Amino acid sequence: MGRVFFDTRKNVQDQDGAYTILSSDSGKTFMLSSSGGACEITLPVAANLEEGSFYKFIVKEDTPTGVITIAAGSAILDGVQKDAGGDAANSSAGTAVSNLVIGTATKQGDSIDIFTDGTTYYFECLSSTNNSITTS
Amino acid sequence: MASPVGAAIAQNPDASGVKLNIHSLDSAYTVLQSDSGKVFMISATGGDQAITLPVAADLQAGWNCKFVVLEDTPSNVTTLAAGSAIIDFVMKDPGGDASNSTAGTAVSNIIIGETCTQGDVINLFTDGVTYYAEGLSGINDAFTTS
Repeated sequence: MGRVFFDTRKNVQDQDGAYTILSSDSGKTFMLSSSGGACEITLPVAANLEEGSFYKFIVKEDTPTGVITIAAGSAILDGVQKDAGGDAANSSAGTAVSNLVIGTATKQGDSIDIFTDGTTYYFECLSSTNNSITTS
Repeated sequence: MASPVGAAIAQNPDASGVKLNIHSLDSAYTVLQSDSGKVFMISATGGDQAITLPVAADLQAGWNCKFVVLEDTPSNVTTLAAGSAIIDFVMKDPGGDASNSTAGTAVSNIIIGETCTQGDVINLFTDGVTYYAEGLSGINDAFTTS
């Protein structure tokens, strides 16, 4: 029988502005705002990936003041996205990207889960607004 | 200090630095009870393969795992096989429809096709009776069921 955990909590961090993710942040849920304008959340770069690290990002500020860029430093983000459009949205579909860009049209609750296998980041993204989360 | 490994994120609000348990698969595999919480990275370079899940009689409430496509447009098909029609599955892909969600009729298998792209993902857990799965894919109908 495996371990069963009760009364667990997410480790939640309010983030209003730029931040550089630390190795010790794995497992955290970041609640994102950008009241001061456009900002960047910097992920560990390719050379510093630690297998199994994972993070969740949730838009806290409804229609954020500025664009929030989640930046990996190079094209190592692969993943899928679904939003209000009936299409592929901004899934990477086999071509990795460097950035996930949370636009000013996103809504409170839009979310991105990211983990790494030590080589690549994998993301799962859900948004209620069409093309408000993009990639670059 | 080594980080704890497992699906539970934290037992207290101060826990940090936890890691997921990553397991690469590139051939047939029978999933173990002790694999709960793992992230399986899927390739299929050697031929069609089955990932055999614990069957209905062996389900343990709360068991869970994640499957992520590692090999972009896999060489072959990977089947997640439950042994009987006990998988209820909701999925979204680029199609503007219900895709291959089970919509109330459970299935025995989830099939990761050769058109899948790296990062396509299936989350799976069981309440002890049924498997519940969520799938996201960047390609229309790349995940199917049977």
